[in-house]
Amino acid sequence: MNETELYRSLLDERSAALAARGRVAREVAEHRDYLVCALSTERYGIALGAIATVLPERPCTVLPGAPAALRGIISHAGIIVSVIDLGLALGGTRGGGAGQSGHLLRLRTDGPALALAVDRVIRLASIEADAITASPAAGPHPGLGAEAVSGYAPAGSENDGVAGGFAIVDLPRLLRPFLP
Amino acid sequence: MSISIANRILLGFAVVTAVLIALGLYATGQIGTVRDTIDRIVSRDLMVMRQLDDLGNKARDLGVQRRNAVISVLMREHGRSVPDEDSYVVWSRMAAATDGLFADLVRESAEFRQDAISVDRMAAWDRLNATLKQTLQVYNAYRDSSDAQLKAVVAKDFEKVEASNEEVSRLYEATIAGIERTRSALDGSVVAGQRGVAEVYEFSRFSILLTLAAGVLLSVIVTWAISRAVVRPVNEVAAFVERVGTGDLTGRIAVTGQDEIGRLGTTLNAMVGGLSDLARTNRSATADLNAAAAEIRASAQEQAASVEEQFAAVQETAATVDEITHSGAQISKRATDVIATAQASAQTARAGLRAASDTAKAMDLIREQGEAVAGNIVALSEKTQAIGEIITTVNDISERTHLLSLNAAIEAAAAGESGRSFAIVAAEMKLLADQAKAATVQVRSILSEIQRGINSSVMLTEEAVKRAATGKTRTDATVRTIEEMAARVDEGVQTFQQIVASTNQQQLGIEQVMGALQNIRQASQQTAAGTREVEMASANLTELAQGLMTLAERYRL
Repeated sequence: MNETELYRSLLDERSAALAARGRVAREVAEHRDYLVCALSTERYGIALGAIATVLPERPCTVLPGAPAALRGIISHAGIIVSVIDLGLALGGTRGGGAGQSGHLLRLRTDGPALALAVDRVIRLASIEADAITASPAAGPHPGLGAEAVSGYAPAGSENDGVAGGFAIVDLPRLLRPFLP
Repeated sequence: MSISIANRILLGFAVVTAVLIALGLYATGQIGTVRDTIDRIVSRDLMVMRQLDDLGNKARDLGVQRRNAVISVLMREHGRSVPDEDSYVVWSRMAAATDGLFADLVRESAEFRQDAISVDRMAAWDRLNATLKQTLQVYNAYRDSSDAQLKAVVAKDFEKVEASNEEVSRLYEATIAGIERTRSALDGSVVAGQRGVAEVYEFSRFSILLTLAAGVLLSVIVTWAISRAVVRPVNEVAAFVERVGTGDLTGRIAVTGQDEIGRLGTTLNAMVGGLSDLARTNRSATADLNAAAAEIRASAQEQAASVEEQFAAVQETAATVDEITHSGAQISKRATDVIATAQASAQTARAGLRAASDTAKAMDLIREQGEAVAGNIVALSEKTQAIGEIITTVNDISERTHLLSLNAAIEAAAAGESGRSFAIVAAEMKLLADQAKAATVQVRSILSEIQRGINSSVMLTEEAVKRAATGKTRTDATVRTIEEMAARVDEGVQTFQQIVASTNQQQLGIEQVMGALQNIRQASQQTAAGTREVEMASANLTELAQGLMTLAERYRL
């Protein structure tokens, strides 16, 4: 074994040690679970803990004088649930482009019962907290930011390796106009 | 005022003749004057000279008488006998005559002085008169003393005679001398007369020469006037006639009037007017003749050209008819060939008719089989519809399974750490649901492709059936067409046989046409020769007309 090979083996060893250090740190990182929904061509992620159940879309009873984003009300399990169009609430266009294949997300709220209307619920996503890029307008805590989108999950940052990034919705900030 | 030429010439001769007559008369008068003057001078001078000679003789006679008387006295004294005679009486008579002669001379010289012809003569007569008077005084003294002496003679007084004789002789000499002086004065008068005559002669000669010069000058003037009045108009007329001779008929002579030249000018004007009219008429007629000749020549040339074209056309027609003859023979030959070919075609058409009938039957079979295939395909399509409904059901199930798996995952997440295994089951369920959905999507796409294939097969089959029916129809039409074609071919055979017969007749007619064309060609050649002669004649006529034009152009109108 000459000197060059010894030097190369030492460098390889050192590189392997440096690579193993990052892998250990990532395994102990915190994971957050999101439900990824489709609105037209956009993808939005909603914190899994805030969702009670997923329902197939059904016709709503329209309320007169209601805000534009409030699509109407439905009856679910004996409770009146207000349906909020996520697209309109985010300042975009009205959802429902997928027709009858749309989904409603029943939320876990303390006050009135609310549901978010989305085009389709795609999948579950578990993202590392470090991989999330915070929005410049996001506040230090949920519900205090200037906009309803608090961050972005990059493509390929999930454990299961499913491709496609999405925007993370700050639900308290989004629902603030609709709650007392 | 106009005077005729003859009168002018006569007038000129009359003037010259009158001048000559006047000149002759004047010269004659002057010659007479000279002669009168000479006569007067000569007669006066001669008369005076004769009287003076008389006077001298008388004076000498007186002296002789006195001396005789004295001599007789002296002789008596000396004692000689002397015839006694009366001397005194004779002497007295002589003295009286001498006195009369003196008085005549004084009177005549005074008279001649009064009507002298010149100043010189007047002075000469003055001198003569004065000399005469002086001589007369001397003579008077002499006569008185002589008278006294003679009286003494008579008285015989010798002494007294002797005493006075000296004085008397001296007075006698003085008297003779005075008479001689008078004679000399007369010579001066004669010289003055000669001079006066010479003056008169010179004056007459000079005046005659002057008059002659004036007459010559007048004659020249008269001749010039006649020449001016006669020759110049004649020259103008000659120049005008010369202009007319060179062909200039534009001008008119300006000389008019009543005299010969004026009448000649009027007549020449009329003549030139007539010539001008004649030349104008001649020129216009010549121009018309020229134009007509040119038109004749042009038309002759056109006719020649058209005859040439006609000849060429006849030649071409003959060639064409010859070609027609050849082509008619070929037509006959080709028609015979066509007849044979048409008969072969009729046989072929009958064979084709049989083949077309077989084709129609085959087409019917094809259509029936195509209809059967279409029925099978429709049945297959109905089966595919049933498969589609099943696929819809499966898709619904997979969707529900999807929602179910999601809710299960949510519930598992809500259950926290205790629901983690359930979450794995829910994830697997979701995976299955997704796979089932993907499978249904694939089956649906395959089904739609099958459906499209079936639809196109149905359409193609129906098209094939329709085409088979159309083919059947066309084959039927073909059969009919072939039948008609066979009939037409038969008709064509008959027609071509008629064509062959007609072509033979046409050949006969064309041979006649060829003969007629030969006749036309000969006639065209004759016409061309005649037209060339006409063209040459018209060319000569044109040259003649142009020569006439050139002649007529000589006259300027």
